[in-house]
Amino acid sequence: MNRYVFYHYFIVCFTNLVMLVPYHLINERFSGSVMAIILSPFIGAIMLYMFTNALTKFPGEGLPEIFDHFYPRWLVSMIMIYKSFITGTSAAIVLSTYAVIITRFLNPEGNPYGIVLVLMVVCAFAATRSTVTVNFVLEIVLILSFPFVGFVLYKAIKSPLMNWDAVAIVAEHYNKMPSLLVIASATFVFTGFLNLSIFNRTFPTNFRFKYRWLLVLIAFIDLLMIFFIPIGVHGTEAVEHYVYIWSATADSTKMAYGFIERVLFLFLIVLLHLALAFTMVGWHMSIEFLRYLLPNNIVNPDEAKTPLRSYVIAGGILLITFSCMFFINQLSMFQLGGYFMIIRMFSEFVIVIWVYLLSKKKVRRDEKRISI
Amino acid sequence: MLNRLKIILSPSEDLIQNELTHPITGQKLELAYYLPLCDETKIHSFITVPFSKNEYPFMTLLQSNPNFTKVTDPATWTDLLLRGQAMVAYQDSIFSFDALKYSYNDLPDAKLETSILGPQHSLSEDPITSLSVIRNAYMSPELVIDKMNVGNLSRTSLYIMYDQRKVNNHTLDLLMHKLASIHLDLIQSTGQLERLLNGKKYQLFPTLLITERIDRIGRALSFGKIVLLLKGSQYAIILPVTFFDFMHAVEDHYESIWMTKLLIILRYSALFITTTLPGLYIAILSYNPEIFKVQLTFSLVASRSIVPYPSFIEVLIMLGMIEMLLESSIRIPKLIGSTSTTVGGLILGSAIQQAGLVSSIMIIVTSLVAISNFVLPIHSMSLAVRFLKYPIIVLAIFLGVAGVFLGLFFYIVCLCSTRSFGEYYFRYRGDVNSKQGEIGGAGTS
Repeated sequence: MNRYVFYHYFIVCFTNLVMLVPYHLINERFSGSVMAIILSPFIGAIMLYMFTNALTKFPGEGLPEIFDHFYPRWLVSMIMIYKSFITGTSAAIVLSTYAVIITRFLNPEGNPYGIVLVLMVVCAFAATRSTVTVNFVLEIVLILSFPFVGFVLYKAIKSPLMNWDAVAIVAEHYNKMPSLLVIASATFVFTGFLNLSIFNRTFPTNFRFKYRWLLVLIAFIDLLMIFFIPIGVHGTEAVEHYVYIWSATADSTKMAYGFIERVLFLFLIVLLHLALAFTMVGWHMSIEFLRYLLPNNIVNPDEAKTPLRSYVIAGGILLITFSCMFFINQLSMFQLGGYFMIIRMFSEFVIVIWVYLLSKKKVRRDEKRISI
Repeated sequence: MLNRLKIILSPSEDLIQNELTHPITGQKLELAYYLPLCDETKIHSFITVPFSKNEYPFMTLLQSNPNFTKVTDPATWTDLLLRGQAMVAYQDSIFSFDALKYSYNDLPDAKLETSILGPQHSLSEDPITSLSVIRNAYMSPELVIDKMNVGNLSRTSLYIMYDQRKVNNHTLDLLMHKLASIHLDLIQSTGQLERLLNGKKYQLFPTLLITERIDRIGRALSFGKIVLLLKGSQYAIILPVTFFDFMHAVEDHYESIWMTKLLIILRYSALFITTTLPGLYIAILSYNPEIFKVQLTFSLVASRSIVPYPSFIEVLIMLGMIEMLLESSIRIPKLIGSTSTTVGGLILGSAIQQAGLVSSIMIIVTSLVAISNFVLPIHSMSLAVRFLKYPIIVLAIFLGVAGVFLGLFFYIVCLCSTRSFGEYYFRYRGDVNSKQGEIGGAGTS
């Protein structure tokens, strides 16, 4: 069952190709990005080990149940609202960014709001399915898209435009102090384990985490490639002219054989599925967090019939996200996205340490109960 | 003997266990045999009739007739019974009587799922013949055959078969619950039963497998699945199934391993082609011709240059035609069946292209879609898949390439959320290690 942990880790990791992460990192490539990239796996690994160790003390329980053991209902409800806001927002950012990419590269004449609405409806439908189903969808999507992600990365590295000197020049700036924003962006790659705060429910009670170091290692390599390949392809200076840096990078490579010449289209299709899966997982978590607030909530990771409350919550999330899109334009989204990154990083620190302390508390409590 | 057999054998509808008492002499005879495997007339003329007439001592008949063999070891009882022998217990000694009936010659040829090297026969409409064949294919004392009646008016017999040791009891309970909730006057075919049992009403994919092949049934039983057999229908239902069972032909076990692996890949690519190709045609020609190489785009657009309307109308015309052709070739009597394919496929196809109503690429697309649809080995799945291309076409009309792949994502979600009698329908299943446990508490739906 450890493969499901991998999927949750990697969906966050891969989806970063589309997210704001490369944009922020590349903007500060001469001032601290490299340092942030070197530091972030350590931060990520410490968080990962703390959180997963804590979860082993709560087998088959999600975050709402864990907090519910220790705190009054109103406090847990506050935390859940906050958590669902965080996960819902990051999902919404991914989806809306992707909708913009579609209108730029695939349907220049399409109505962006119409496209984003259809994408949202499908994601909301997928998010209302049971937790186990979401797991399976994620698995299938990742297995299908993994070879293509690898292919796009390989193509970009082997591209004749790839200039390793540019990479070396940027890498030499490793001794600059990183800013908070860059640290927050870089650590975002390593936060896939937080999905387990809901998906821990699906694991059997004798579940054990394995190969956790491998997760961090692969994510680190992924981060290096996300950052350095565009610099190598576009050059140290030209790289900052692109907003959707990875679409531009994919577009600068071509396939000599076969029907499709531009790698961009392959990339966009893979990215579509990754973005949809990421949004599905994020919104599913938001729905499950918010369902805690409602009375008589039954936690069942594999419910036969989706309850009405899931649909209502999903519709609410959809409406809020969609109406937010009218007020936020693309430029301010990058800025707000940066603030969001920082907030997200600190709130994740707090949650992880909190859950870790709670697991210690639970162990002490159980020991006391046994000794009595 | 009978008491002992009750312990050894699983309770089964087709196991006949009789205790005969002669009205005059008061002698007792115990008789046990599997009804579908044995020739009943033979049993009557050799055992029951001589016993009741009692013209000369029955023991003499048992000892003198070479068809009767004395059995001393009780361990061989089940084996003998499953090989079509009738067991007779008379005066503390036990005999076996060879009454095996071969019913293979009564079976019709397989029509829907033909195979080259596998068995050539399908099930029979006579349930006893079918049961005999299934008993012969799955010779295990653990095979249970239950009988019940469905339909308020028709009271059609329904046989439920499963391996007692391997079956999932939760699935069996679900099935019994479902069967008990059927309230319909007439139940006449397996397909009808399939729709009644098929989970939700608006379900995209079949969650029960209808088959006519004996080897598929035997294999399913050996995996602990449940087989339903309806009187008067030559198709059986297998449940629970996964999506991958539908993509699997029985021949995959009979033929060269590498070619088989290649064929499985071929089936999945056919599935992809038949669902997405019409949508991709619309999306690429109307939205993103730049996806393809320039030469390819030119030849695509050039073949469409005489067509006076947008690509989606062209697609709808051709797909409508091909659906009518398929539908009519089922209804047309076999004698004139070839006319429809000639007229529809060859003449109409080339004429519509020459008249400039449809591009020649579209003809290729349509035929490819139709052909790849029939690569799928199971009829009910290929019917379900036949529908899948239409929603994708609608999405392609409005959203282009993104719409096509959005539709695929939607189908993946639908597949993953389907459950077939509590079992996961669509999932990549490596080895499920019992040490590690199963995800999600193993099917509570």
